[in-house]
Amino acid sequence: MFGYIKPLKPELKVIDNDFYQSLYCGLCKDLKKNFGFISTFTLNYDFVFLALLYMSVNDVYVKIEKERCTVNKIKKKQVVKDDCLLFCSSILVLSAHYKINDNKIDNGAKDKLLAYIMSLPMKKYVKKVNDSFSGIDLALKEFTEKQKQLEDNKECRIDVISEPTAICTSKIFGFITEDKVKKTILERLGYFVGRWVYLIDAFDDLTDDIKKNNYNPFLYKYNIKSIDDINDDEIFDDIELILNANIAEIVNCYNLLDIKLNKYLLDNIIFLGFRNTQLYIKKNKVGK
Amino acid sequence: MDPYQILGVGRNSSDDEIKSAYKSLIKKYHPDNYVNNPLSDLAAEKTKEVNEAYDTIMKQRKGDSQGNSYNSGQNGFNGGGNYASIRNLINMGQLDKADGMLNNMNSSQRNAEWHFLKGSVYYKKGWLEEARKFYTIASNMDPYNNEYRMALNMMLSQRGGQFNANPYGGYNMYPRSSDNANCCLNLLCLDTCCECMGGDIISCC
Repeated sequence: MFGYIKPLKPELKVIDNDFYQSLYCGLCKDLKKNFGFISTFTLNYDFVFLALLYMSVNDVYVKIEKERCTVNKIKKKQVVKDDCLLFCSSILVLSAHYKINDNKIDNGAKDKLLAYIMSLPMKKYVKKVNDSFSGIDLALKEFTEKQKQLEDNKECRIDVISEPTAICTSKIFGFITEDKVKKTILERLGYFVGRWVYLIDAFDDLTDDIKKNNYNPFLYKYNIKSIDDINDDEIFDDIELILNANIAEIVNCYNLLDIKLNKYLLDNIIFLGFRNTQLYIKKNKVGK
Repeated sequence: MDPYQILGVGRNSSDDEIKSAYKSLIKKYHPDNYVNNPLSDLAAEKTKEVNEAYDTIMKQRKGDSQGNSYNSGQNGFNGGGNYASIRNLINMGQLDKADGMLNNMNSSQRNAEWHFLKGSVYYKKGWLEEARKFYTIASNMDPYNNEYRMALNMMLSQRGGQFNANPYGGYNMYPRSSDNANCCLNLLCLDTCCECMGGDIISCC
């Protein structure tokens, strides 16, 4: 459903696809167990990638059990069960909390109402997370403030505006391991993953932001004043080049990690998945 | 560590299989892929590890030193004077200091190397767009300099979607035109229709 970092399914082996799905279900179940039913609405494919990376870097061999789906009680699903999922679900909940707070201030009336409804249970979860992972909360808080500041100042340089997200993701990925060498590699990997996610999100929201007159870094970079300015492919092609450069840096870091566990699944996401998302968004924008 | 495990091959692999695994790993960790990257020393370590593993295996198999492993020649690019110290700072990761020193130089001193080093500072920070701008200016100011050209070309090919050690190398992400596949189907339909009418275009189906 939600999320930009996904594998290219047609190129996945069945065994890898099944594992990927069971990891998604595992995260959902872990959220429900630790944080309650409402937190499962924050679930996002990007965090499945984080969980996968965590497991592969730390060589975690997980159990898979059969359980009924949280939403569709009739369906029985394969579900990954492991304590390491707590790390990902905690970050999910925390980042959702900050996003909701952001929505309370920024968006329209409908989003604000939803935000208020979600924020009460979120506060309870946040307290629970902070007892276990304190550094993450600080990283997220700093990032949210810095991001808001730059957007209010209508920052036009791509590198500068994507930096808060990049640094925040870098810190989160750094929490994956205590091994110093791997930590350095993961932090740089996280930096470019965060940068990519920010930019692809901006790309995805480009047409909406023009219509609603919201902030978007690409509007300033390409001097876009109205919908007609994005009729040609040139701008979309250029954005794709910027995004590709990010993936290349992610690849350089991933190669150094020399991951063996879940290698085929991660290879698919990194070498095919990112580009596929870019292609999908580009195809759906052109001609709108 | 077991040299066979490092190269990712079994103990019973043939010499050709080992050579092929060695070549692909060297390509993956090649220093040219990590020029100016803060992880370049880790890549150099991996290269050394792979070289040693390959040499060990070859010595064991052939009984003498016929390793012929790749020597990662350090790119000895040296700028004069100020630039040597700035390069050192960049290599040690002291990017703010290096940036400060670069900014202190007035505009008459800002030559091709200045722009290249500014680009390197930005590249190490992760500011890819700014890095590309400065590498482009450096390469334009000094078109015959290999170092600047290599750095710029690497960025341009990465932007084009070329990734290092891509296991799906050559995979065409873009939708294939269906015209080529359709022609076989068209011929088959034509043959069937023809046979219904009493003729036969393709005699074997």
